[in-house]
Amino acid sequence: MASSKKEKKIIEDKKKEQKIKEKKEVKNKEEKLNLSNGNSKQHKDKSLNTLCSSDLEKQDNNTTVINGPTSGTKPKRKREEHEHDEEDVSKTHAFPINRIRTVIKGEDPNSRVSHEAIIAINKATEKFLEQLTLDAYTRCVQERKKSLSYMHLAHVVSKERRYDFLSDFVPGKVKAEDALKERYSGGSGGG
Amino acid sequence: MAETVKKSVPEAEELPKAIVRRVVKDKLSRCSEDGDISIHKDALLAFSESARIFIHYLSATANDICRESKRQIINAEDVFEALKETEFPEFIPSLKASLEEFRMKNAGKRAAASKENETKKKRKLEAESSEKGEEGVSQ
Repeated sequence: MASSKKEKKIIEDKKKEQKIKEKKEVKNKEEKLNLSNGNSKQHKDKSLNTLCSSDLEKQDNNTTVINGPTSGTKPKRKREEHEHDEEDVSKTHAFPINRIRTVIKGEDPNSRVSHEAIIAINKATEKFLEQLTLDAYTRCVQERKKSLSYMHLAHVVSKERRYDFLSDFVPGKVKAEDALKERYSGGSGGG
Repeated sequence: MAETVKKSVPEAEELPKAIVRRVVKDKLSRCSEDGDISIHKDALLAFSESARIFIHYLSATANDICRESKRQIINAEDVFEALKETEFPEFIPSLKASLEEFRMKNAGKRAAASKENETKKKRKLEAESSEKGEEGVSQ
């Protein structure tokens, strides 16, 4: 009886390893999709994630089976599920809601913003960052550089009209010499 | 001349660096399939600062739109309008999607909460009835 059980377990092990590999790939893809398509995939993702986690645990379980004891897997599962819950929360909005609210209130303390508006702004900020990254990246590729530097960003900001609002905050770099000259020549006018 | 000295931003108003880095890196890894592109530290700082300014810009625009229509509280529609005005209208569909998701989740949570309450009540009732039954048996 015991030997047949072991054999069964070995077969199951192999199957599960395959499953895990497949699901890891799917998970990676899904994560990418999730970021690009907003959160429309989230429900699927959630179920897959939970499947994945349970499979991973089974693997852990099986590796320990060789040594004998199988105890101690239950609390682990609980913990992982908890982690997934947290991931889900972070997926609807990338940034912390309270932080967004403080940023908004920092400008106009009297403004009142609905929770839905904050979620919209949160998502918009994420999309904006992605767009800015994409534009800076295309510039980076044009220059055939391997790393994204401040200059790429500054260039994008100076070129595209819709990034004009950033021009004071992401200015192009100027040589200190030139900047000082400019300052001293026009400094008396109010600097 | 002293006016040009930088105002330091309070830490509470900065966006979490780790999240900014993650968003940027994820996007970069999706853009470039061949190899990872590294990000300079100053670029990352500029990204995080830009995002913060964007929030100010967007919320101020939404606030103006809200005031024009003589309302007090900025709602999601104002944000959409503000995006149109600030020339980022292509974000709107995904915003709507994530808002929908948020509403669904909220509705789900409420439903779950109410269900829980119901089940609790049922359990209570069952427990009470069973207690009564036991009492009846013991008597």
